[in-house]
Amino acid sequence: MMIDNESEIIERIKNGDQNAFCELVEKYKEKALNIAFSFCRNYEDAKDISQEAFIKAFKTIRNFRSESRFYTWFYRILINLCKDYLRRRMKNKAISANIRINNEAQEEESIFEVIASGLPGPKEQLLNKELGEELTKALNSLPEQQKRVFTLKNIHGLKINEIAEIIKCAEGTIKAHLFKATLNLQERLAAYACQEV
Amino acid sequence: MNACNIKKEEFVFYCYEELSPERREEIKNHLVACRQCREEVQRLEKTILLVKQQKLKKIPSDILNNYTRQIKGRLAADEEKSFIPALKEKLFAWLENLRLGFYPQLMPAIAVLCVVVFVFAFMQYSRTNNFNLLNRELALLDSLGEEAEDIYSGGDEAGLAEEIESSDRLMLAQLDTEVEAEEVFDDAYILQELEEEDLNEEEVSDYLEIIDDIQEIGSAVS
Ligand SMILES: [Zn+2]
Repeated sequence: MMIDNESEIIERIKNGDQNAFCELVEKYKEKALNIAFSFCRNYEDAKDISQEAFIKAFKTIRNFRSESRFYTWFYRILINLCKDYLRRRMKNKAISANIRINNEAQEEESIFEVIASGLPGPKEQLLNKELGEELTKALNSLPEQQKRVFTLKNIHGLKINEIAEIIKCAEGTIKAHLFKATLNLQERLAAYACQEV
Repeated sequence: MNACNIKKEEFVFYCYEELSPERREEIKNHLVACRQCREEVQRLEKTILLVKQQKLKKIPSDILNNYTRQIKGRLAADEEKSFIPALKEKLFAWLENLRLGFYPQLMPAIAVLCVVVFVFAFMQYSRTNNFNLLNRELALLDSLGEEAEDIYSGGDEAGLAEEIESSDRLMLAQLDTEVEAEEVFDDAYILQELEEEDLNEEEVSDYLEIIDDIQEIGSAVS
């Protein structure tokens, strides 16, 4: 039902219906913002990039073929814009190497809520805070591709074949990255995995 | 790989539910029977759960609330921008390209063009000038011939006197043409003459040929 509803919305967008487009934006805006945020670690830029991705999707919706899911097609646009953004930022960073703006701090900025709600005692909350920090550090220590694949799989909940489609990579490659990243994290988080109830 | 002949990769993808249903069943059955493998899978599952349990940061509400409306605004702004200004933008981009393409690459060609045009104009000058000189000399020879004829046919003194006078005239005329020849080398004079000149078809085609040559040189250079 969901898929049918979505393909109907997309048909309307293809006919130039802006309201249908807004429905789709409403549906995916949080996911888009979260993905963009996991790349750029600041919400203003995440907003700009994800909005740009939506606009680009709207303008090129005719290129979207219904055999794939809309979100895989859209995430591809989004992630490419995120990569462009990171490339630009790297360049700026190289230019202003000795000025050192907040970029360094931004990269360490966690994508997780520092204290997760719903946990009872202060002890658990502290543990969770530590875990969040440790996890952020562990993720940031991974090679770029491993980090990306692991995040898309475990944080944004995508399937391996979807990730392969989004970043235009063979499934085998995605699997290799995911496997290595999982083992890396298992090692880094071993202490927490034992403590867990 | 462990003693049970199952690769660690398979346990990882078992946890991610990314195995074929048949393989998944096989491993599931094995786990029931094998404690060692079961523990390994449990460790993996715990790690993955730790990550998945983490809550993503809450998106600031001001960003979320205005989000769709802002996109609408950006789209409207894009549409407004898309007609005449887009044309203008294109024109500017085109001019910019032209300028960038022109200056550095065609500079040698432009230099060559200037030289060729100058040489051509100069040659054209000497040619028309030589032609004028020739005409004048021929006219002088003609008149001289007539006078000589008169002299030899008449054989009188008056004729002889006239012959001397006419040879003076000839000298004077030659002096005149020499002065003119000097003027030909005067730049201002050249320009003035060039302006006054009407080109015939042959000369036009000469010009075109030379322009073609210049273009060839230009493209070879760039
Ligand atoms: Zn076993």
